[in-house]
Amino acid sequence: MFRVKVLRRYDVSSRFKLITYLTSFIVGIAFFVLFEALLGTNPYEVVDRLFIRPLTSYDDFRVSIRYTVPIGIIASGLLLVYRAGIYSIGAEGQMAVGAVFAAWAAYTLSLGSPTSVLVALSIGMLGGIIWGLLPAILKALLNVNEVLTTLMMNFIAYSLVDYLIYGPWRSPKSYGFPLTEPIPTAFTIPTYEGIPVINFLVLLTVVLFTYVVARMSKLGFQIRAYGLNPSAAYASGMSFFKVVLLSFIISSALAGLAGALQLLSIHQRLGPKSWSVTEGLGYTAIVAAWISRLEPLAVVPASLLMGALVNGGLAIKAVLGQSEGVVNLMNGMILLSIVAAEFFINYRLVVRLR
Amino acid sequence: MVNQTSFLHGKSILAKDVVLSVSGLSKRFGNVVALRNVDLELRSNEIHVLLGENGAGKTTLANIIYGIYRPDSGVIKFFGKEVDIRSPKDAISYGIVLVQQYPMLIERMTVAENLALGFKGLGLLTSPKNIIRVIREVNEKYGISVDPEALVSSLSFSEKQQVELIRALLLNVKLLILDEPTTMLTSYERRKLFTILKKLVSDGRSILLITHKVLEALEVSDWITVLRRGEVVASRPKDMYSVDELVKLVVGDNSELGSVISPSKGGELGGDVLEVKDLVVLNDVGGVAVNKVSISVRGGEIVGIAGVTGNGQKELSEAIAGLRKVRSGRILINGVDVTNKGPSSRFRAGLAYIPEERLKYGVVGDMSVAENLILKDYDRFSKFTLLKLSDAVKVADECIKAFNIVTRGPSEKVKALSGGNIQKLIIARELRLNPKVVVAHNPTLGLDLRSTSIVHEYLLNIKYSGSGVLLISEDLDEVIKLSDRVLVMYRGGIVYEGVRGFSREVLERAMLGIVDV
Repeated sequence: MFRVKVLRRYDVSSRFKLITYLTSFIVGIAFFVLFEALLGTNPYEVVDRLFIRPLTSYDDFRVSIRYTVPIGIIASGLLLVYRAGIYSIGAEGQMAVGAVFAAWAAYTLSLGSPTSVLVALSIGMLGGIIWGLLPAILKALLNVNEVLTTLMMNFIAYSLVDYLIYGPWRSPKSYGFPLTEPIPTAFTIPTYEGIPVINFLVLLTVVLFTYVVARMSKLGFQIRAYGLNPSAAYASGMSFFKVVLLSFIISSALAGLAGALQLLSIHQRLGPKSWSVTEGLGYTAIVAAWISRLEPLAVVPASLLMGALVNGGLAIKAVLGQSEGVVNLMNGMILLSIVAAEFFINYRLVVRLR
Repeated sequence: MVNQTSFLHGKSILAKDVVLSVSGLSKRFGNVVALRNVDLELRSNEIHVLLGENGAGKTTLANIIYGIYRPDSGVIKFFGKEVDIRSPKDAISYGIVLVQQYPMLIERMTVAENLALGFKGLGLLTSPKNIIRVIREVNEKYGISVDPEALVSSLSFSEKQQVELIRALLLNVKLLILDEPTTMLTSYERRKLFTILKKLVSDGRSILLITHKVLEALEVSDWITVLRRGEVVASRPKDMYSVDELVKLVVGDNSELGSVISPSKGGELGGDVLEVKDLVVLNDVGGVAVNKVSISVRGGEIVGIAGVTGNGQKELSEAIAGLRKVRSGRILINGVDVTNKGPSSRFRAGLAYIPEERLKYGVVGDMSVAENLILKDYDRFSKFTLLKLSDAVKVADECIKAFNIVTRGPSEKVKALSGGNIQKLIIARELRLNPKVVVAHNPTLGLDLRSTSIVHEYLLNIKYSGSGVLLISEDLDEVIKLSDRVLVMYRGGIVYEGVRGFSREVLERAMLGIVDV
């Protein structure tokens, strides 16, 4: 017989932390591959489809980058709220509403390019903000748990999209599919050989913006103080209301922007579930934000990686004929192993023989 | 290093068994040597005092013996056998229990419920009566007077500490380690604690008591080991020390510790800088903690508030600092009504606050020294919305020099600093704002002699510069030493007020609610 004891760890070096995080990430992937192997899939093929091709083959990389951009933009916003110690998971809903608002702009306003795109993107950001505002105000004024409110707002956003595509916005020419009309060409953002170059430039701008906000601005200072020690931040006269509201507004505006960009450049219409504009990327971005360790510049590699993984997951789904839960499963496994890393940084297991 | 063996001549010493022996113990934290080649022998039936200033390595040594830290090198033997203590759980299984400086109890549970947690002696399903009976037996045997059925939140600090002692006894402790147990006690409570401790050792147990108070060490110990900068500088029976010698051993050959400051009468008094009128404040569970308290502090004076912990001082200071809502009454800072306004309106009106819980309310431990120094007035270091940290670093360099903050530099994280240096940092930040009134709550709690006298000097300088100080302290000596006027708080009210020249005894009685008319 042996028994396992859980013991608290005291001195922890930053090198140990880094190694633990990297290891746990690999372990998460390994578990996913193992799971695939149990389904009877060739593990080598899984790794190839999941990782190697989406990052190395030009054709696959073009698709990966389509996921990278929204993941990166959303993760940039999320790292600000996470730095403030606020655990919003509402980016998915804010992204969906951003796409809805941008679609509204495209269907109703008659503008010429590029004003049309700028206006639609701004309106998309406004949509994201509106969706983030309710949880933000509840948190700022009444300290209502943001995890619950943001999650519920996501479902409301899904329902809003469903209402529009099954109801008033359903295209008569879509052969009965619940899809909207394609948006007018004046509102589309061009891609280069299928690569959303403009979107990627937007991502880089956003990363720079969040870098300045998080690392160099007064707001970033207040956000960090609140995240690291709310009592001392409050006692120093920093406003909780302001920190919560502003960080929420920035993150939900960026989620809305991501939704609008995906709509205007990639999807160009709203659709249900697997054809949806969000594709669950609002959740994937949470993983990317934590992989970046909440460092703005690290969001770029983190979102490249997650974009590739999403693409690879879809490839597995298509090539190996597996269900759509595969990508969610992989996300969940990676996030869980990162959470587990937190545990192994604070505790160690001792196995003793009896 | 003093050779210990030369003192092992007395019969009584030889007769005792060595319970714990530590040899060649070293521990580093990064570049800082916390302990260097420490030897220690602790015998049965003995109160062994570990004496030294803050940062001398006392707590580190205790934490190693208790399994919280692992030593870099060295051997620990317990009853002659080499032991590897990897965690507090291991330590407890050997019969080593550490009582922390602040009791770790669940406030909303009763004493018995708290003690039932983690106590395996009674089996999984036991009736509450059993544990209450066991507690009563322990109480009777050692002269402890804690009601097992009382809610922990209703207990005084010293009673909570006694609950921790009962817990140790229930765990069948052989070696009890106490970390600065007397910092928050009145002299009456301290004497009571010492009586209990003496009964414990006469019963075959050993005690390792950590303190930085020389007189206390002489009062209670059988044996004293002096630590200075991580090294043992002396270890002998108590009787072989004189007070002067002991002080020198603790402080080292350092004359800068210096003169005891005697507060002079000071200059002219200014106008009211802090007015508290009929203040009523509730505690966390909705009870009245501060009951119709009125205080006024004028520029150029130090007003002390004495009292046993838990009589409303915490709620009073938090209400003044804007951390706690006021039920009724008013607070004016330099003539500005700030009642129920946030903390920022207060420091704009001229309030500086030195909080008791400095790690919670005073600093952000994971931020740098420079960032913590501008935590309140970061607006002055920003252009548009961008923060100019380079300016903050310059100010930090000045503060580090002026306030003698021991740190590796402005970018070091504050949590790496010692308690005394964190307190100097907070004072530096608060004084930079040119306050009209400073509210200091237990400003020297847990600080060593040197840091304490520095803090006292700063408080006096504030007074001489014409600002007012409200000193809320549970250290009566400190209150007596510094204050021009003293108010005594008891059960949420002011029960006594006196001007300079107060007798210690009158104040102590007032602290226990006994007021002579």
